[in-house]
Amino acid sequence: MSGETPRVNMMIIGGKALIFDHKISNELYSKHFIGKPFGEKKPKIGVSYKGPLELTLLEAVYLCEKNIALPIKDREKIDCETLKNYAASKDPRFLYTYKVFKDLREKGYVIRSGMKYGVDYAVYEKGPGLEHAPYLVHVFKYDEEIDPIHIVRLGRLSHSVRKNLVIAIVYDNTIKYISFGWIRF
Amino acid sequence: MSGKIIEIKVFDDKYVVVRGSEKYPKGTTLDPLEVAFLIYEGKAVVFDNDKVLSLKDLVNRYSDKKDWWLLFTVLHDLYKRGRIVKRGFSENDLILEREGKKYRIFVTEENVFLPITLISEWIESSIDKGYIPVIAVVDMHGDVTYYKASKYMFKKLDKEIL
Repeated sequence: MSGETPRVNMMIIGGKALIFDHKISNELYSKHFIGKPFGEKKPKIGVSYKGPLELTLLEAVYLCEKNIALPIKDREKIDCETLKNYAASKDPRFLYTYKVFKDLREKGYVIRSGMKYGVDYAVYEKGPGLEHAPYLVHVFKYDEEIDPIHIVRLGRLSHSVRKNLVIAIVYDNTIKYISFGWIRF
Repeated sequence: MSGKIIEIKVFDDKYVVVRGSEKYPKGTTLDPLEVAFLIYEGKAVVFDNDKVLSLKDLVNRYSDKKDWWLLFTVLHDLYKRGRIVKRGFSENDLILEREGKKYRIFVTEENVFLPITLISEWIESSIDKGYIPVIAVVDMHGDVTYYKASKYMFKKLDKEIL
């Protein structure tokens, strides 16, 4: 889908990006599970929605870097770096959570919000509606500290919802993934 | 309390069984953590010269070692489950072997923040040594929860990638 010139404009507004082109919006959602048709709680694949496709800034930066969408902010075109810096100004964790988002996206995984599970990402191999997210991923920067009880909380939850809990540790040039599972001796 | 009560004597800060049992033969040197467990369970009498040591005495002796009580808590929890554990490679881990598997258990507690890299490096070193890494988290009431850790690799999926 990437080309020399971005195929579509996306409007940056607050912490979101919007794509108003229905054809591309449908393709992005139905084929790649990027963004979500505005106002639809459980959008269906292949359905054409009248509203804009609403994207997170993670998705917006990804589409920008893949040269698929051109960001427009305050009615001006901006480049990907400017968009990234803007996103980082809104979310201090953005630059390293994005590294994980991009790494998993480039391996073909579908990434949705893990907020309801208390983690950064719910990660799918196929996509929402096609399977239950098999992974919950929470991101740490290599110089962060963790309260071990956090592992317990995440582990309890992932066990109860039968998902694999994975912690991503982001270093300057690499990402390490560690999975945790409850064990009884 | 059941079974034979063993007798332990302290020689040069070492805890040596002087009247043993099948499980603890005479002449065996025991780790202070295990000695503490045996005292607590009423399974051993420990003499330091003529003084009989209590659990309190032992805790007092090792109170300057910051994770000693935590280690004792986890060791006690595992012993009560019938598991045999011994000291690990570092000050805050234990080794457990069960059903042909070797576990290295990192002992920690809630509200004590740890660098994420410390956990990550400990997990990698455990795997390199042939152990299954386990994090044992002791909560505020002394209850222990165990989490098995492993390195994970998200494989590249065979599909069209955006």
